[in-house]
Amino acid sequence: MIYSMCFMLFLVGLYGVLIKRNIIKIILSVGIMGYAINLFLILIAYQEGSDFPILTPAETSKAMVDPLPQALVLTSIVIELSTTALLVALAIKIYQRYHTFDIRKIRRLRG
Amino acid sequence: MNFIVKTVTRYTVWLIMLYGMYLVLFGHLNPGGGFVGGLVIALSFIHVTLAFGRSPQAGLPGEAISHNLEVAGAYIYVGIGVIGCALGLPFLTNFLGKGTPFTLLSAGTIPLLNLAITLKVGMGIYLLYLLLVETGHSH
Amino acid sequence: MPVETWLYFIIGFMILGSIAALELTDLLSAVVAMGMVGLGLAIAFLLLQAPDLALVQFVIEILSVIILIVMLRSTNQRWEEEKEPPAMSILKMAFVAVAMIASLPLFLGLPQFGQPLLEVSSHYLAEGLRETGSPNLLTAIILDYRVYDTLGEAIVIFVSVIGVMTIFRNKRKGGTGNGS
Repeated sequence: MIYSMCFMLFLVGLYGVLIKRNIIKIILSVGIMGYAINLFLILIAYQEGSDFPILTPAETSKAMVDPLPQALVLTSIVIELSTTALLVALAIKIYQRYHTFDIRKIRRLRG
Repeated sequence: MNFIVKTVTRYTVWLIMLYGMYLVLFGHLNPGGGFVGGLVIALSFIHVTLAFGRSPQAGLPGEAISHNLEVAGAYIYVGIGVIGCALGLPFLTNFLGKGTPFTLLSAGTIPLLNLAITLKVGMGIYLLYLLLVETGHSH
Repeated sequence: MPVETWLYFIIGFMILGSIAALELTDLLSAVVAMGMVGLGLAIAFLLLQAPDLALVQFVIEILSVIILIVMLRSTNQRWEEEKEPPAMSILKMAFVAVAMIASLPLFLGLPQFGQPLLEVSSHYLAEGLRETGSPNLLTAIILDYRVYDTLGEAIVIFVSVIGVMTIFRNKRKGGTGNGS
């Protein structure tokens, strides 16, 4: 049940990518889809009644959640930021050339 | 920015940067590590840039220096791996001694790799910010 | 209250926030709503016992909001004027609804929430401290067991920086067209 709610968050992002025409809205939608995927991986990793995967000198063995998806998501989050920066750079360049954010208007070829 | 923002920035940006360094150095003992430490350090640079503008008095690294630092991070990362190769082990093996757990100098090459990742991520994100802001102003 | 109840609340909050971010015509408000969604995700990570991820998500969200506001300021566009025609948007919304309904059986095959499989990770959890010497098992995984993964991530950031530099290069040389 909670997985399908997470998938609804993904579909909100998909809706934005399909329907919106403004480039900024499309960048936001791609970010929302990324959030949904990260959240889904961490939901898969959660174990009922477990602690975070960091040992302390007091207790060197305890029940812990799955650290492997967390490690994958940690790199994925940072990559998402650099992807957003690349998209923003492309959007600024498009605006400087065409003076609009509408993806329908930039389809015509221009020098 | 106005006077209040500048004064508050002058007194708080050191704390932000110190927190970033703490996250890097104790990344193998506490929550933290190279990624978030580098991002917090980059955030402290961006904080100064937002408050004071890109004035030379701020003494922040420019584009060339931050790009060199970023590439240096990548070279340190690969260099640690190549040292492992030279010792006859697979690439990027944890070849140093493990040390006593729960102390600062332990876990072999993990703190060194954390430093390399810090340079890589922090300077990379700061460089991206500088490039975006500069082209925005030039327009 | 159990963790699951809090998660329903937070994911519902995130869905509402993202709908607000997509539907607001003021682009600055949309960016701020997006920041709200990201901070909600950081709280969800805290509830799911991932403090490292919560820290990273918190900082990344601040940075991405700064980057998006820099873009809005440098282009001076504040309002979204473009609208999709209604017939087309109803068609696409129907597609999204069909995708949601068709995917619901997909989630029945997954393990129950709170009982993961832990096939590979049980080795990491049992032997991680002895084999790597790092009490933070997340760091042990990303910088010892799966260190190539982090190398690839560093390469992705490098490529992104190079990409941004290449995109903006023509502008600096006066727009000659073929930049090299």
